[in-house]
Amino acid sequence: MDKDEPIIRVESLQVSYGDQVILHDITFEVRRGEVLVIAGSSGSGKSTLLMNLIGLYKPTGGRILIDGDDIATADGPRLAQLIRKFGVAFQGGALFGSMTVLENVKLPIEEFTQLPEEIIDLIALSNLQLVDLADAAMKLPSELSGGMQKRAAIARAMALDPVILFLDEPSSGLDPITSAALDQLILTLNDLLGTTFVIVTHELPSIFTIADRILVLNGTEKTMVALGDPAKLRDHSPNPWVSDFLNRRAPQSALVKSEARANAESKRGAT
Amino acid sequence: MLVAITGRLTAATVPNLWGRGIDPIRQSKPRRVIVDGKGVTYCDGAGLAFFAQIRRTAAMLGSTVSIEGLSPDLSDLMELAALPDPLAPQLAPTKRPSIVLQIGKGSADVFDDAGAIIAFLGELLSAFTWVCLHPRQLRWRTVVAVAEKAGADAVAVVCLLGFLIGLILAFQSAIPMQRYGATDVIPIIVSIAVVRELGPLIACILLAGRTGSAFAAEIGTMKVTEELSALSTMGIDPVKFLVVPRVLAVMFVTPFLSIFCSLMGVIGGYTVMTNYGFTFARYASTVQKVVRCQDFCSGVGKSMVFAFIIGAIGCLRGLRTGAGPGAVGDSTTRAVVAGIVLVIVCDGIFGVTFYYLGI
Repeated sequence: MDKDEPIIRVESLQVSYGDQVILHDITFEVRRGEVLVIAGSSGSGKSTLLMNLIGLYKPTGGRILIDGDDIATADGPRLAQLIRKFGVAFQGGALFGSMTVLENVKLPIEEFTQLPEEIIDLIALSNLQLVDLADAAMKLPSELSGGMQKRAAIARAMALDPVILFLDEPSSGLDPITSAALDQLILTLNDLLGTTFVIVTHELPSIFTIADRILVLNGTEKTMVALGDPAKLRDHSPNPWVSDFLNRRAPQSALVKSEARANAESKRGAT
Repeated sequence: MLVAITGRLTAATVPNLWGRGIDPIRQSKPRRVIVDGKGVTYCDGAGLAFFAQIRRTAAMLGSTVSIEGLSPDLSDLMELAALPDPLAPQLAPTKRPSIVLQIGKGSADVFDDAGAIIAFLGELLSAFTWVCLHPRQLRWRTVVAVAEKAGADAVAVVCLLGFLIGLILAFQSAIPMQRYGATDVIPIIVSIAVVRELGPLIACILLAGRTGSAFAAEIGTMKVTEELSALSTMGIDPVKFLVVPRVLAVMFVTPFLSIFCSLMGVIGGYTVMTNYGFTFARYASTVQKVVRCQDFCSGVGKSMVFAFIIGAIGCLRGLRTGAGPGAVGDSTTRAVVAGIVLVIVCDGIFGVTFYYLGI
């Protein structure tokens, strides 16, 4: 496979539930080794797009090629081979509650390799060390904080050395410091392992920190409205909704309450 | 028409104002309604609803409304809460689908469910074949853990129920049998009923309540928390990973539970028979004479089939759990109800089949 060839190519994707169109005309590529963030307002179809990319939902139209193979039509051994190329960390972590953190990370390795137990243990522990969780290896997921659960989910997703990591809202529900640490972890893994990241988030600070490119979905238009460098889109997007979306929370977050209240009052006055 | 409102508009005051404010508008059908809010000092959600109702009534009558004299804060609040369409179409009662549509949808759901059960059974049988071919790849740890929970932990309650059933059966039979001087028949009735039917049935109904529901809740929660999606994205088949070990475990332990239940039922019957002059030796010898090997084996064999049904239905309901906080509860209820109903239907089929086969 050519190294310059995009690792994911989405062509004219359409997703509907019954008569209701959720997404249409989605076309983009993900380059090898880049961090692509899928952003958009709540209900814009970010998670739906992700579920289609990882093959959990079948699109109603278009193609999703992962390393040249269409995940929507693949089945049997072809699908199994395709699935091995990526790892997924879900929004809530989705760790198996009855297993320790180490057992969670070991699970995919046990299922898909014939390695001796001792080696599997060490692979899992090394993965946990990469996300700074080796000390929590023998804990149950319920004993971990939200940030630790998300890191453990990333460690499990990396267990089989996938070339792509899909992360669903990795920093949602985390305090700013933990969220920033998670962003750093993503950048480190991207730098050191060369893993391609596709991340769904609407946390603007995270987007500007980690994204090489950003794909913006608009819930009203039910399609993508921008794709490119986040800073350039924020400052020079021809679409006012996109620049407004990317500008909105950064200045707002710096406001103290009195300023925010004055802002709201002036807006009310304007309407 | 001028409507003047004064004082505090709260949930305590608005109900009294509702008719007095709205009825005159309805009756006089004015072209224009002017609401004078100069005297309004406070307004909560109920107050906003009152203004919304004035607007709604006027809109229905084709009148225009202007609200005047409110303080700037209240005016802002009123503006913020004003409905884009004063007729509030969102509150219009939703039309109930016709009976035909409801029957059609219900039938479609039943067929959909039946299709899902058949597909699931196919998947399960294929997974069992896979396990037979690759026994080392089965998660035996899960099998043992489930067997302990579903089997060992249930022994005490199964024994208690079996004992009580035997006791009640003997006691209820004793009253009419004594009248005809046929108390010697009671051990026969109790032992045959308990060993052939009630032992396996009671053990399996308990299994449906304890274990079938637990499977549905556990797997349903895993679905809600995306753990099943995580399994799929790891390329692990949830049927092989979750369902097969559970169903195998219950199929292994249930015959033992059934035997314990039957044994305790026979002992329960004996406690009643001691009052009718039966010694343990006499009681045991009667039981031994009437209970044939095939009675015992048919009970044990049936319990294994019932365990398969309960385990599979529990897991299927878990896998088909919907979204939302009530979904796990719904799945659990459906697992228990479907499990018990199917077990009893299946028991009836076994009864008839065994009769014709002479077992």
